[in-house]
Amino acid sequence: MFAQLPSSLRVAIRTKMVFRLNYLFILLQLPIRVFVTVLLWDFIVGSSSQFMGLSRNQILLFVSFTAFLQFLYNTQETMIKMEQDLVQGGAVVGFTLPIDYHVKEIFEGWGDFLIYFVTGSVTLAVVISFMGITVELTLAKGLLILVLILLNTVLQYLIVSILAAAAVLVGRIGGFGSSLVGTLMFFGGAIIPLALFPQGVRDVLVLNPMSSMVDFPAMVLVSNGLDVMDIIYRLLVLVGWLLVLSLVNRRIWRVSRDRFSAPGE
Amino acid sequence: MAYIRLNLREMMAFRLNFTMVFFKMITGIVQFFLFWFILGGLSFDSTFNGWSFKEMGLIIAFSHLSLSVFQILSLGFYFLPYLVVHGSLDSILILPENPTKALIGRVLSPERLLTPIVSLIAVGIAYYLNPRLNPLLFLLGVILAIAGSVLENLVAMVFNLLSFWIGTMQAIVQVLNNFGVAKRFPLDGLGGATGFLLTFIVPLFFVATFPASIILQRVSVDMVMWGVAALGTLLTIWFSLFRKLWQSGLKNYQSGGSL
Repeated sequence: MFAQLPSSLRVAIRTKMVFRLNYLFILLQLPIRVFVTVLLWDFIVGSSSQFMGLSRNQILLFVSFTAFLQFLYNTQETMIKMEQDLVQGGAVVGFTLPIDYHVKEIFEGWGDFLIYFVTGSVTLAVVISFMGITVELTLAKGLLILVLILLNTVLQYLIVSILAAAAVLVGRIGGFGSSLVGTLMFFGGAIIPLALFPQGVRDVLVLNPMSSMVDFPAMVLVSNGLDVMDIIYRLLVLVGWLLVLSLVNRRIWRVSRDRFSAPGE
Repeated sequence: MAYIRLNLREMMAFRLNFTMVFFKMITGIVQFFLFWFILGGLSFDSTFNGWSFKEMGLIIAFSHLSLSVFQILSLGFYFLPYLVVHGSLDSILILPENPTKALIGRVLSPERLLTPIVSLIAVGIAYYLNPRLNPLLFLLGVILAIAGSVLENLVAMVFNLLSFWIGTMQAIVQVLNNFGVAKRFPLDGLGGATGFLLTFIVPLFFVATFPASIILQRVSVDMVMWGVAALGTLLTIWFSLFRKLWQSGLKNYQSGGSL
């Protein structure tokens, strides 16, 4: 499976270099997003060093890192692309290939993902050091975050894939998908760290799959001391979602494939 | 109206999706309010840097109003770079009507027209939250908020027009959009380079903070006059630029079939 990675990367780089200026501006979105988000939270926290149990540095680091994660996942754009492919009948190419359409899509997406991961990480590091935000990154934390990002990329892909396959069954689904993803993101730490929610609400919200994607890795980064039991619990939630969504994905793709029709058939 | 009728027919083929789009709009505005409510410790009496939660309602409503202006005025231009790069702007130019109207009209669906309704609800809520407001000042504030939103969208439209010469420009417009979060909170405390940037270069100060400050009488009469003059000047400059670029862009355009 991974043998196709270097060629995917080569294709992705070549495509990016055709529109260099455009790619530069895509990268520029991350520092601007971080800058504006930090500005917003600076306004909220004011001059105090603590806000609702988190230090100023922790909050600014959290929101900067979640901006990076959202830049990386870019869920909705991928979903719209897949939905368009399927509703407009473009997926017929994928269905006729010897490997599953969604596996093919993963290969195509790998190159883009790697480029955005490397360039985005460097950009984020430069921006947060420029803004005076400090990071205590140990090897264990770094490895855990890397594993979480990889698992969450699969989780994100499964969500997108299920919604796209559902488009074959019910027609246009972009509105449903974006409102679902948007709401889950809001309650998943993408806008407000879950640590700032009341304890009872937080206990429920950590079960939200989007909290595994955004809040979990960001909390690992900003925590001063990692709570092992908390990490194991949240990892179990993440793995649980991966298993459930894998099963749903497999099932819905079988049904969609049976019902799919495209121009030319 | 013909565009709206056409788009309505298309939308009715996907009723569930349409319902969810409307649901998304409602949840979007609810999230704006919820954001400050949660950070205020689940209280309506919280204050952030001198702005009470209720006063922030005006900022939230006006920032949503700019989304409505985007949906009606500049969404068509958002897709322009794609049409230009792929040489398919002909689909607009061959229509027997003004290309500006055609470009705006082709994306004008009832779905888009729902956004202003949600914005008006938000403005109504903001008014309800602050019962002692002067109605005349409130009206002036709403008009200035719309003017500020038009200015914000004109800037993005001008950048979209550059696609006639540079090619794909959507990433640059996305860069501008990323600044957009800033209009959801008061920008009156910003000074220096950041304040200048968000007032004159990416003019988000005029979208929500300026009109809300006038309504709440947080600024002096001198400041109001200064702000209105600056807003008028910026609108004139950007509109002239838009007209000039749009006209010369259309002259400069080569379609896929003319190569």
